[in-house]
Amino acid sequence: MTSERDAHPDEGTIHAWLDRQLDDAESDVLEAHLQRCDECAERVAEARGLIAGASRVVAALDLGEPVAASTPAFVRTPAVAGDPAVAAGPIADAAGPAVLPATRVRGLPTFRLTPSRMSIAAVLVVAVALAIVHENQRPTSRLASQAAESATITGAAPAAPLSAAPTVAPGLAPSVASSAPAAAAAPLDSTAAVRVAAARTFAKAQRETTVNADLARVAQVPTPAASAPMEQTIAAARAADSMVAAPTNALRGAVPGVSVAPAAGNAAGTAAGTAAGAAAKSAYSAAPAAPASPTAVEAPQCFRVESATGTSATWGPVPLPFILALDAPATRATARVLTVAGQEADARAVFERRGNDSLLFTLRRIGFTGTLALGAPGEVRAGVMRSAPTSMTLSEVVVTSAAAESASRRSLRGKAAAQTRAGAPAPVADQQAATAAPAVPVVVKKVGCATRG
Amino acid sequence: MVPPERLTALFAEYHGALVRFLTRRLGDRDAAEEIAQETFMRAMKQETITSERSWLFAVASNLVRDEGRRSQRQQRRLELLREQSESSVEPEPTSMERADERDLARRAIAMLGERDRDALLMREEGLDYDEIARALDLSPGSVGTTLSRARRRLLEAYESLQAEQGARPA
Repeated sequence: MTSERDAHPDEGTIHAWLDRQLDDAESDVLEAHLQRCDECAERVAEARGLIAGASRVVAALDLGEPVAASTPAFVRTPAVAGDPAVAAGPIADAAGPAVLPATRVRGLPTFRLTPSRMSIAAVLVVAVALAIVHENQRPTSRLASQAAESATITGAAPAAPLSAAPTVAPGLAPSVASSAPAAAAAPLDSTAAVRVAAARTFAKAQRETTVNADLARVAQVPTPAASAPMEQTIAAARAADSMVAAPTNALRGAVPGVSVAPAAGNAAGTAAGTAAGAAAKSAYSAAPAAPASPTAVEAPQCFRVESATGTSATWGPVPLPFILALDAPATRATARVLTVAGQEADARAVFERRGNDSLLFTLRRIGFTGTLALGAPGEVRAGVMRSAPTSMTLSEVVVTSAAAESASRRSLRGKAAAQTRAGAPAPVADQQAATAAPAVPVVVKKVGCATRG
Repeated sequence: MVPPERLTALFAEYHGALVRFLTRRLGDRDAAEEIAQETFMRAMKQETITSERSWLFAVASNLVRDEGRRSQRQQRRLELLREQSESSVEPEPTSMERADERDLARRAIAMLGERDRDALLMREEGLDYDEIARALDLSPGSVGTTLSRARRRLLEAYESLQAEQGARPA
């Protein structure tokens, strides 16, 4: 007769034990059995290999993905004396690199640091640093003049906080996806994430209320927005405030005037004063209320990008608000980044259409990476903007003598331009930086394009 | 409704893990971000949430399941990735090797049953057996069996794909 202590545990129980999911009594029974049963000890070793191998395969899913450190808490827990994973075999950490190769899973590529590689890396780091410093010095004066211009606009409209605050350097805010200590130090970023959700709700509410407004027009019910533009603006500004404060149902109740989408979107980002001031200074006038084309980008289009929450932010070196000018009717094409005054900003972008006619802009500016995702088409689109400073990957750096430095930089620019033309994705490091950058909810309004010249 | 400050705390605590789980599940960071956002939107509308982590992962899994078209796109993307890896004429050793690793891993994980895959990815995010059981509507006693099967099948699939790739002419 076989007692309970002599019964061989099933594979699930062994995995549960190795995962430290058995209670003390069950663990005692199993451990006592393992002391006597070589066969089960082998099964434990095999299970340990399966766990480690599976973890490695899962971790390989993250290669090239901008995902935060993937080691889960239970793996990070240090092995302690009496730990089942220690007691049952010679391997201390089931997920560690010294795991018994019970499986033939190929190891992930490793990089050995040798003195020669270290010296090469040091040279490359210095070269990259010099290139970035030199590159970043150029837009400083332009940024200063843009900040001055923004301050002037804000001075005419003290109610608008958009441009008064100093520009937030991209990448300085900690990532939302970081670990607990970083999250504790980043209440701003967490709030921004909630604002992103609020912006999405805002866009959804906008679409719904627009439909309601159409129905109201059919029923010949005059909307307040039709006869009172200032009231619309104020109502929409309040809606913007309540969007930040109460991002769900309060929005829908507070935005009856959203039927006039352009006014609502404008006020959501800037409030009445800034909109008026910016309009006075801008070479771009609001587009007439033509029906939005929900289909393709068929003609040159210009979008004014503003913060949805009134906070200051930059896209690469370009501070909000700015203009994106789409010149080419293609599925992936370049876009110019302009100041609200219509001047060329020190950046460019490529864009591509995504599902549901949304648009994805990717910043093209050496030293920065960034994206701008815009939602469903309309006079006003909700969007999320991210950007961060970045460094070039080592594989992109051309090492030359000091005299040939400018030539190598030209080569780099040529490579970047070639990537842009080919629609190649940004380097992994750039993508990681971009997606790790804090999200800034924006509203984007379609505006008329000024004539180039 | 879950108060905003609680939602912010939930976001700070679980958003990273949820996006990682969804990215591994879908192979698409953008889609993962979208579903994670939708998950938190739904959390915001809840009156109360018990067992928050398993609730979030369960909702995210359900959203993934509901998005059938996304999985089809993912399949096409994987096929494209495989074709690219086969037809590239300018190999970049490091990135190609990483892409191969990831491609193999994605194809292997795609060969698992849905429940096995979810259980395994949730466990990799640190969910305990009770949380996995709640999220996937399993009995707690069966989670170990589910995980052991998932791990074994994942490695078998990975090895067979690796052997298949090794057998192909370079």
